[in-house]
Amino acid sequence: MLLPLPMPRAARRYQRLHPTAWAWWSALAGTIAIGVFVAIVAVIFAILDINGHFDPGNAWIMPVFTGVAFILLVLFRNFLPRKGDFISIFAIAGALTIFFFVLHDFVGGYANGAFTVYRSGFDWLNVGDFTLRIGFYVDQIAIVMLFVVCVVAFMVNVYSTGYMKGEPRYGWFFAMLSLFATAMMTLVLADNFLLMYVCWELVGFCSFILIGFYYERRSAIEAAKKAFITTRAGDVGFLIGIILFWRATGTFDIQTIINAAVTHKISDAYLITATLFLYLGAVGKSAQVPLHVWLPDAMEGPTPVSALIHAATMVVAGVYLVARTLPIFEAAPGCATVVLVVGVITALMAAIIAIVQTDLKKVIAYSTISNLGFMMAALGAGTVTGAMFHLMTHAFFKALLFLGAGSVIHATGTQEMGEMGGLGRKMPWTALTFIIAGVANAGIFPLAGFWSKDEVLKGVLDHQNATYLILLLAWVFISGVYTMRMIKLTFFGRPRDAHIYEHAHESPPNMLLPLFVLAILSVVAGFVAFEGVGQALGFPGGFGRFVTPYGEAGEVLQVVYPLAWGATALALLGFVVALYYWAGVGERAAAVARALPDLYDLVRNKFYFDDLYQALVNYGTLGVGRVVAWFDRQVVNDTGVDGTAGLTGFTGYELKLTETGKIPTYALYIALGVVVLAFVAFSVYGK
Amino acid sequence: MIPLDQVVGLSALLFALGVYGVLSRRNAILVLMAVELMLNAVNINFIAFATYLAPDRATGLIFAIFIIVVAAAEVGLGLAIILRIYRNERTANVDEVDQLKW
Amino acid sequence: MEALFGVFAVLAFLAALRLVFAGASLVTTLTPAAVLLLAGLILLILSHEFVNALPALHASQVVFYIVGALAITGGMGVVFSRDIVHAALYLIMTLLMTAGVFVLLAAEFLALVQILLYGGAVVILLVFALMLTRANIPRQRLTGAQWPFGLVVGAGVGTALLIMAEKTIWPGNATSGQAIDITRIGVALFDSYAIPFEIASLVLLVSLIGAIVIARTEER
Repeated sequence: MLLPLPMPRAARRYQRLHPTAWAWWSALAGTIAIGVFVAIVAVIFAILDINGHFDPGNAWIMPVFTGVAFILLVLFRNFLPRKGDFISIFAIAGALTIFFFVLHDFVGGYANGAFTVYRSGFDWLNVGDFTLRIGFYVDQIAIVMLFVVCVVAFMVNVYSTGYMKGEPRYGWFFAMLSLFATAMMTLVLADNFLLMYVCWELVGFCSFILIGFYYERRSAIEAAKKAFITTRAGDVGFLIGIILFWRATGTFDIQTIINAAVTHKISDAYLITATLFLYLGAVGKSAQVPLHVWLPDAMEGPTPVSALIHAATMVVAGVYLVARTLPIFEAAPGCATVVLVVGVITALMAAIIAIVQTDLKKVIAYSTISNLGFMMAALGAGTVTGAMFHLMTHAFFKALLFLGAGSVIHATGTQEMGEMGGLGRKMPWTALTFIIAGVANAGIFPLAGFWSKDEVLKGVLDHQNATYLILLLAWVFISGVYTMRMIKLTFFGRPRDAHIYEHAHESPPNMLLPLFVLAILSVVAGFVAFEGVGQALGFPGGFGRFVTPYGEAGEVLQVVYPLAWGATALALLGFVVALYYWAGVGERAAAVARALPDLYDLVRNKFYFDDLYQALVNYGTLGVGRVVAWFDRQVVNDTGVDGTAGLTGFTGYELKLTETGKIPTYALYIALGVVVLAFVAFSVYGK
Repeated sequence: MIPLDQVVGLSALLFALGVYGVLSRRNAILVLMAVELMLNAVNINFIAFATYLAPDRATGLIFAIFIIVVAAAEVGLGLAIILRIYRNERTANVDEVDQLKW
Repeated sequence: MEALFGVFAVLAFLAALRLVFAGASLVTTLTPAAVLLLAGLILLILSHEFVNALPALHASQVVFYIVGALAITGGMGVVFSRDIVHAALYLIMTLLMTAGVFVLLAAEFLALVQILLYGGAVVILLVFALMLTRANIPRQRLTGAQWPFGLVVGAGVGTALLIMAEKTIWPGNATSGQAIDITRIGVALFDSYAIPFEIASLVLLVSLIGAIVIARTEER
């Protein structure tokens, strides 16, 4: 049947445009686009809005935008021009616009030293005492997360129009990006564990699809499976934790549960168990040791996916969970320490592995794992401010690193740093933004990373042991090493592969624009720490005042300058070390590797985690499988099914001999029956 | 008079002999003879009960008459069947008519 | 008194055994049985029990014992005889003895009916069938393969019935009976049992037709 829709046009070859023409048309298109979605937003406001105020409780309209985009793309992408990628971009831009209104009105609700929290939602299912609710809870943490998700998703959407150009299933990619944005925003806004869990699984699913996007490649399929199964292992714990909390409190509502935990309505042992199970979910999703193995493999997916999901948004869902439920972690004795220790271990281990990786994306992946560990350590140390701050800044510069790497990969066709080198001369803008991101990653003044790292370190200093602080400072040093190594091997020095160097070119504007935006954010995002910024937005206080631990007065962000300078110095030292050891063709580094072969192998093989899990599967799962298969074959099949059939057959074969066909035989049976009955009657009625 | 127990005992013995005959004789006509034996035993029983236990009614005797009638009819029919089988199978032995076996 | 009965039964059984293992003619079989019978009688007369029980012994009882023994002998002959025609003759003997029992039980009409129908019709029929199926020509074994089972079952049936006979409390006079008037039979046949009477005639008709239909040779 012919649908009354525009049919796909044949592919049109665009002629090469002059850069000026590019700029002009991009600007025009951008203006028109902005105009269009402002119009849409205005319409929405006309419906939703009262008195020019946007009730922040209605922030759920943001995921609805991207949700509608998802549905439209799924149904109509093949009938739209350009496969409908602009729908996804409009949706996320619309969500971002609404976010600013939400922020404005949220900040406007600041009174008496505290922000009002906005709630909305409806009961979806009521069965006796049991209620399933789709509810939304908008507080400062949610605002920060929404900001991160919207900005990075928007950048990635724009970037993907350039990066994924010409790929098969182009429209489907944008559909999944929209679905992911929907799920992530709903996750952040959810006020009860059940809705959060649903969205948790949904983002995991999107991750699975997107990692396995190039499913013609065996390795991509395997990576997608690995990601899903590993996070699933964590999610089971998460679900058990949710159920345990439900058993204790009778509700899924997060705030109620926090209340119950903080006021000691739940016994200690039970609380610790439930909290640790809850934490398992975060371990899986945020790639903490030991469930970190999926993230490096997830690099099989397209680079925009890595930027969006595996750097900025999905993996921080675990951090968000712990941040949201931090009072529970602090109420349960020892849980916060567990988070801290695991975080520190993750941070250090991943950073060490990052030093010896040769695949550019893998280095960034391990850097992500390492920073996630750092964020978790911040939470374990008790500073929500620091963790959320670092979450925000990290999202920007990590996404930038990934997108820049994507730019390089798009230009060179390879991910191995061994084949790169000297690309800074051919791709100046990419190199510049990449270096900015790297410097921010290392935490050098005055870029964003500096402020957020210092905030975390200050938190650790205030609340915890000096040991942790020393370990984290060591981590800062190692971060500097691998960052500079990565930058140097990719963009500087002599090109190692002449062919690739020949064909390297700068990326088109639609890929460069997000890089610029994110670079600017990487520079300025840190300044929200200052009070001035906050006051400009309309509330007294900087970021510290904004993200406050529950019930406590907001911390004024104080920079402990000795600590901060010390961290910066360590990072710079890391840079120097990297430049020293990997100078030229990296002979000094190679010499070190040869001198310590066992240590090098250990790190090269990622501390043998993958081998461990494979052995577990081989011996564990397959072993159990063999036993079960034996049981099924031997007991169920041979003895049960075949045996029953055989027994029946045998019995029939033997019993058929009673049917002799001869009359005397049958007469005998009759007479025998009569005699037996007579004797039975005697014994029953016998007189 | 003769004690009822003894009459019934005689009838029991005759019946038992008849049962043995039905079950162990090969020729079909011999089986019919054994059946006659059993029917006779039953007749003795009926008449004894009628005489001893219910002399005011002739029920037992009537029953015995009917048994004799039916026995005669049955023997006639049974022999017809045996003759038919003999014509088809050339044998009157019950052992050898076993087509309906397993 | 049961002891006497038992003795005679044993005698009859021995006669039958003779039949089984010797398979000889009537005369050679019955003679030892008669001799044994006489011997038994003499012994009994001379024994204590008999002398004591003699005053109580009715003539009809003695006759009953003799007739009964002969009936059992006939029955044994039917089931144990090796010659088929002998078996038919033993059957006649049994039937006649049964008629005798009927007489002893004061049901003379039935005794006559018995002789008339069984002895006059049924046995003739059986003998004719023996002729038509040439039952005597091939001199084959007459007892089938499952005779031990038959023996066991027969013994079981007999035991069951005897036990029942022993244990039952008869509702009425168990020692002496009364003769039933023949007019009563006639009245009952045409009054209370008129319908079964008619149906009996139908049964005979059906059996007649059935026998003709089954046994006739079809013309090709």
